[in-house]
Amino acid sequence: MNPQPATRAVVSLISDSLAAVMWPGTDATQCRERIHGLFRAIVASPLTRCIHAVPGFESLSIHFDPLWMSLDDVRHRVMLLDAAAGGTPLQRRVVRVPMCHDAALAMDLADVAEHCGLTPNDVVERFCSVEFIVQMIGFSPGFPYLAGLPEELHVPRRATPRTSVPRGSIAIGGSQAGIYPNESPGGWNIIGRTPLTLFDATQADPCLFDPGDRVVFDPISLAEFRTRAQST
Amino acid sequence: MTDSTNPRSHLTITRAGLFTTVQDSGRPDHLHLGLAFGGAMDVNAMRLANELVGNSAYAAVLELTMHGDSIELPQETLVALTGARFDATLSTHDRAQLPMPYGTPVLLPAGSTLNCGTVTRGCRGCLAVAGGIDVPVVLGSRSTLTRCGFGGFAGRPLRSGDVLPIGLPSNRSQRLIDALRLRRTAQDTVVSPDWFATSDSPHASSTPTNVTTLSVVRGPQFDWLDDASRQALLSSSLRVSHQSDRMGFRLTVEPTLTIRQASLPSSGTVMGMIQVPPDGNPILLMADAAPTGGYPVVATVIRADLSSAAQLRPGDAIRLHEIAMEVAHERLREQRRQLNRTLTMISLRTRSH
Repeated sequence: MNPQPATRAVVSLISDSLAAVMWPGTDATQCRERIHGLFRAIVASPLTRCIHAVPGFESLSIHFDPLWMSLDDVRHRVMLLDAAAGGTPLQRRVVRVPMCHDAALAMDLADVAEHCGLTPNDVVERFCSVEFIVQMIGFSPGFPYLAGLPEELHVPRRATPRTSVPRGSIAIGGSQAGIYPNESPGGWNIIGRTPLTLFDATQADPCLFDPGDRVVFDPISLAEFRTRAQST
Repeated sequence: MTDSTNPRSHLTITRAGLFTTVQDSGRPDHLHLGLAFGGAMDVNAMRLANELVGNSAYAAVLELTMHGDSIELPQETLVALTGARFDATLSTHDRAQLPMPYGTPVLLPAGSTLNCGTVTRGCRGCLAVAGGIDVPVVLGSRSTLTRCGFGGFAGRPLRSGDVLPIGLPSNRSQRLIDALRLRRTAQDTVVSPDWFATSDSPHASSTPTNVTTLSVVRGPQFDWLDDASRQALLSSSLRVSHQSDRMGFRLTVEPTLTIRQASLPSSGTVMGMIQVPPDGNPILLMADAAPTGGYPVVATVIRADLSSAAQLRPGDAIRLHEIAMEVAHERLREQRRQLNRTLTMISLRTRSH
């Protein structure tokens, strides 16, 4: 039985070729469910040839050509898809990510542990027991913003960002977690590293994650990290 | 890769320009993965250049910035230069320093060198060759994303010594080449028709004061600006700073803008968006901007004015002119009509040879 969605989507214009879909009155979890549900529905429909949908934290952005479709056209079709998708719990696939928290790779783990009043092992254990959800992918190609970090592990961004965060670093910033697909500057606290490749431009499906995926981290040893890093 | 039985056309960069990259129409299908749309900054210039040499609209071109490259063409090649005006010249075996015609197809004999020179007006030029720049396609496009180091030619701006493959000319290109060959004489080895097309927007400013007006629609966080800042944004002159590149232009305004909140939950961005970061100097997002962001958006340059924006260079002054959404759409409709008229004119002329 599919209950009717409690809140209707609101579609508004941001610029002359960009609209945003929002669900006023929903909490963070419901909103996320609606964003991902609508995103998937758009990708699976013929509409995906006319518009490009980009999940955000609290909205779904829609790029469209205003000479092909009016805002009313976009609104009408999007709301139909949203009504059909909303109310059905989303099937989310799980992506398991190996994480090594050896001190050499987890440069901020000790600081994070101190901030949280836990031991480093506690931090890792709790982090690995969470089922995160990929809220959106942005900042750089393939960088997943992960929702679901327990409050006890919330740590503010570093006062001084690093000019270089190593590729594969797993980090916490405020109430979010993320993984740096490539070396880049970054201000989040690094608590581990994964040997997996998150983004490969040579592949037709370049990104390990899709918005809406579930992510679980599995602790691995430094030896296993080295072995797996060499083969990717 | 060439061999004596099947030589591939190519061009050689003998002296690299300031910042030249291979671009095409960009990557619209991966925005949700954090990949910038990218592509040619001046889309109209690219469309015109490709049409002039008989290419498809999506063929890859060279985007030149401020100072262009010196390019050697070992084989006969059909080219066209659009976008910003460069003081470009040509050298052939027997002639040196011929002026390079602008906005028209030019058939260069084997062994020519094209010296693109320096801009005289605008910022970014577009050089198309018949057959397109044939670098590998990465994620559906030949556009260069220098920030990520992939696409285009080795994911980076061109350097002296780079050799770029050229694709096979289309049937239409070949017919135009054949027709232009007939006009070649011993004295005139460089041939072009006696007409040209311009991509100048009728709204591009050519006033002596060099102030470019960009029309904008109000952004969702416009009201976060205090009264003085709203006034400053829409009435004063803003300047394009030297912290400007394909990702975005940093604008300076006196006084800097005051905004009531530093950031908001990240959402989708689009080229032309004007964000206000904490330091109060606005950022005008351009083609390689990240597709999501969390800075407040106070205005967005209308699509019809993006080609004008692409021709701005550091030091230029701009004024933002607010218009209603319906007017923005009408301006885009008119620009599209004008572009289509120009493309049709080119198509007819290049086919009638």
